[in-house]
Amino acid sequence: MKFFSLVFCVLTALTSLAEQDLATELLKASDRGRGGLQEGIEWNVSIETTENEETTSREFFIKAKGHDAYAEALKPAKNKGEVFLFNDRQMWFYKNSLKKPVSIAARQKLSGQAANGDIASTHYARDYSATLEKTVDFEGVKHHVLLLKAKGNNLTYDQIRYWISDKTKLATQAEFLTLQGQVFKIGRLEYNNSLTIAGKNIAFVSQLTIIDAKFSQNKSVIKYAKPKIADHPDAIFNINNITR
Amino acid sequence: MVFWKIAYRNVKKNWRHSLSALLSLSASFVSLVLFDGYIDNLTQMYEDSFRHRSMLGDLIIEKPEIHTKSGLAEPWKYSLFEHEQVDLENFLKEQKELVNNRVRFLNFQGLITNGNQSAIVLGRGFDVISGEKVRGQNWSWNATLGLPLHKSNIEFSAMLGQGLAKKLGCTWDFSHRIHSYTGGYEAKERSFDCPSKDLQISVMTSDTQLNAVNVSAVGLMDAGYRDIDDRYLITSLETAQTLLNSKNVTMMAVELKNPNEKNKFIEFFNQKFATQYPQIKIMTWLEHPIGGTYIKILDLMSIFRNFVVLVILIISTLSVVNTLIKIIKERSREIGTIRSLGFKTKQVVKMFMYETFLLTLCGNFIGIVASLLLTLILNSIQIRYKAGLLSESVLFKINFTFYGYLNAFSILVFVSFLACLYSTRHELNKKIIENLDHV
Amino acid sequence: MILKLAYLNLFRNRNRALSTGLAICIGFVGMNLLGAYIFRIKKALDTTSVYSALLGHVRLYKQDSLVQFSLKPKKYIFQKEEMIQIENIINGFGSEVEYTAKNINGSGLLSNGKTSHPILFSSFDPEVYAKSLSQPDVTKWAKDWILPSQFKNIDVFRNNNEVMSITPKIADIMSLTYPLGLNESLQLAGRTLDGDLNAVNLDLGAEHTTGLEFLEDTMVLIPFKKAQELFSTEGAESISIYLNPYTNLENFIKKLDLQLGVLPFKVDRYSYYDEKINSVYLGTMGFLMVMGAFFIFLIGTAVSLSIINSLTMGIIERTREIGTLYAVGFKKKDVSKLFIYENLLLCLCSIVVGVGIAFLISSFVNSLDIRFTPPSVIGKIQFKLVWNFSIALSVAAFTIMLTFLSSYVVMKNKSKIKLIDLLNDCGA
Repeated sequence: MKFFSLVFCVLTALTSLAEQDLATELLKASDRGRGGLQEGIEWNVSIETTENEETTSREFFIKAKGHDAYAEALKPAKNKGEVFLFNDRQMWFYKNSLKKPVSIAARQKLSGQAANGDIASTHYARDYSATLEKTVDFEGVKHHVLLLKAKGNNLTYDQIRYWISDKTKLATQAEFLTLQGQVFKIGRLEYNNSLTIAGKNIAFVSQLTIIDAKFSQNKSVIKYAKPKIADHPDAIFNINNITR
Repeated sequence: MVFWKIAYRNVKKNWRHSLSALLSLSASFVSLVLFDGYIDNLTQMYEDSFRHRSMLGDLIIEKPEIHTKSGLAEPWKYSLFEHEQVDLENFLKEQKELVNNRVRFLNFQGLITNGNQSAIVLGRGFDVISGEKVRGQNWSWNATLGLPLHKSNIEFSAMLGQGLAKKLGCTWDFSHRIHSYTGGYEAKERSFDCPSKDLQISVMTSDTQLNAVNVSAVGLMDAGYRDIDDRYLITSLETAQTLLNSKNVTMMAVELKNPNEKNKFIEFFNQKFATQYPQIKIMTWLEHPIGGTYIKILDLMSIFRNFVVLVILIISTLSVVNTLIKIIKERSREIGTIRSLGFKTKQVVKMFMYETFLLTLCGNFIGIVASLLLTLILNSIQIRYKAGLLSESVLFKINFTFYGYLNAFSILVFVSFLACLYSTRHELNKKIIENLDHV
Repeated sequence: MILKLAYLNLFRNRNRALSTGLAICIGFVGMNLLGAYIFRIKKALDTTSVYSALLGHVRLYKQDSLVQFSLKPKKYIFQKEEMIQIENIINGFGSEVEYTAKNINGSGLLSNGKTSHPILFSSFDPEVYAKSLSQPDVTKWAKDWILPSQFKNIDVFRNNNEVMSITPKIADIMSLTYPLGLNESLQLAGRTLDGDLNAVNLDLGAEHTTGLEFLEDTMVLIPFKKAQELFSTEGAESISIYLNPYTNLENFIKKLDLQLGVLPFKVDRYSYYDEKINSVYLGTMGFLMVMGAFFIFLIGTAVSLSIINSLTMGIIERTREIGTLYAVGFKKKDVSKLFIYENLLLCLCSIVVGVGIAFLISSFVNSLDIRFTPPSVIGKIQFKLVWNFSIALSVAAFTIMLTFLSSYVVMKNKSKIKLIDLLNDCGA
């Protein structure tokens, strides 16, 4: 009896470890499809937001590398040239007419584009630890549901429930949870883009739809176009360089 | 004793002369006590507002740095942490002979939305059950519309300021009578409609993590000041702590069994915590920034009170002097007779002083009856008026204050004695023969 | 003749006349001084509301904008064409209107490049600001409510149209140094009408006080053009109308309402003392009026009884005289008139003296420069009594009426006594 218990415990532990490894691997793989790459990346993004019964559309050109992202507004014309810079969780807003950039601390970002910036972040494998919750059939495809827990206290979302396709190893749905585990926002991902990395074509995100879990009429649709690997110098993510 | 008898007979005999003076004294008495009663009611109303309605009790425990520049930027650093609260709770339990109740508060700022409208919200979480006890009978029902929190069965419920509710599209019937005779609200659910009472509050926690809680708007309230009413929300402490993902509280309010033992309690508190937690201070809400407005109101009230008392006293003194001069002049022959019989000047003065005292007594008695009657009438009319920055109108009310009545009585007796001394002086300075020759 | 008799009778018992007159005088002075205080506060509130708070005499908003603008600014802003239509209506009033201003209120983050502080802002037009703070009434009535630096701001705003005004408390929170002009410019971030994040530059150099404690760490003033730039709009949230001093506000409002009614869009019109845009005004005046009414009731009662007391004593003393007058043919009406005239004359003399005393006391109190801090106001204001002829006249009218009524009541009562009883009365 004791022998079987021991075997059972070892097998459970091994299974857990294996599951842990699987979850981590799945997370790393899914990050690639969303821009979580060692190399720098750039793409065009259009965002259509419906909030409080009003709809707005914007287009940005985004450069990302590591913790940092640089987003330049392209459309509408009145916003062209505006820059959002993300250094980890610090956000800066700048446009040519400003003498200095505006710093928007993490706690001041509660709604609108600023909040979306956190959701569109792409380094979940770096920022979250993953555990495999369950495996389900989601939209006719086998998916692994991971529960991501923030590694530190400084991430906007403490927990994310993540659906990753077993076949493509890409995330198709994310539930952004409150600290109490309630669903706050839901993200749905599509991958109709492709990206060439070291001669290999990989599927890349083409659309991220962020829906308010409680008020589903409020949503943002982020469309990604023309993704490509690009070697960005660190200087472009330095706010001092942008304002010169 | 004989002087009292003489005085009593003279008052009876000269009642016609005395009547007007009596009325004048009564009017002065009524004026003094009514105005005093009004000021007292205003003072009481503000005190009630702080002590009960706002659930601040008698004393506030907090870290004062929360009101400084750095406190404004990082309030969570200056909140009462969990371990500090444990020690404070234990201390309050030790002092259970002195302490009646305590209420913990947690303030927060965030965004509230009903899906169609969003608004910035200033929120406050508090201990619902002990808060209701501290509010007392008058303010237990603190909802202008809907239900107060302690009556709600919903786990995460909130009450909105009426201004905030309007912003979120809520509507209600304004014709409802909501105020009770005792000064609070009638404990009755008055309905209100909203596009959705299902709301979501989102905040950034102290760790700059986004969090949100769904709440139900169960009631509306008056936040006191219009500019605050537009953004105000209250909820249970548990909801606020869930939202902020923290067990901290911003401050603690303590209600004592006997408010007069504040100093004693403060002393015990300081003995216990001055070295252990030097950053935590205890103070009355008068000493707290929140009490600043109240002190200014009291100062303004005392200026008005002193002015009114001065004017009324001068008028009543003149009236009494007027009467006494006439009475004493007419009785010049009587004074002459009494003096010629051997009464000394002091004794004559004593006689008139006793008479004046009886007159004042009668006048004050009439004044007491008139004051009580007028107080009853004015209070039952239920006049409402806007006072200062308060978002709701307040009830015009006059309090019965024993010390007010006693003070008015004493002041008028004193004033009458002075008038009597002044009035008798002229006649007593004459020679006896001049008194007897008076026509 | 009766009047002459009444006048001569005043000197028959000088002491009593003096003490009664003094009682009336004190009551009159008391009410007059209270009126002087309330008058001063009212004028100060009127002036600060219209000019230093930049509300104007009348403010126009789109219907429901007062509640909804902060949530849906795009829907509730006056568009350019709508503003033109309103301006055409206002221009029709000619010289009744001195000037107008457009306003936008909002919220945002004030940033110095390192930290950001959430604020509420109100906009101003530099020329309107200059005109408003240069109004003679502002110096006369509201000097205590305005920082001296706010008067200097007039030139600051004219010389640089990017200068904003902050409160001393905000300067402290953002660790700014004085003089403010030496600090680098700030940026104000907010949302445009379309909900986009936007920001504008603002220079420092001007300071103001809101007058209200709980707004001192939040409220800033920014140029109207900057507010438009921040909101990315050519519109305005509201339009303020500043009237000429001789324009009657109530008449103007009636005419304006008629004209606004024909516009294709609905407009809400508020006067500067309307609770919805100026709760401080209504609350303060409401409180003072109640105190004043209560005070007048008490003083009036005391004065009235003083008069009754004096008159009653006089009648008691002169009972035989009254009987004699009846006997020689004076009617009851004439005798009543005599006593009433006596008291009215006494009252008039008391009022004349009272006016002088009130004036002297006001001057004396004002010269003492007593300072106090009213509730919810930043800083100290002078306890000032402004003697005003209209108020003195109103109080005088009230006192005369009180005297008349008191005398009339007593005489009506006393005139019922029979002639024979009057003649037999010993008078004591």
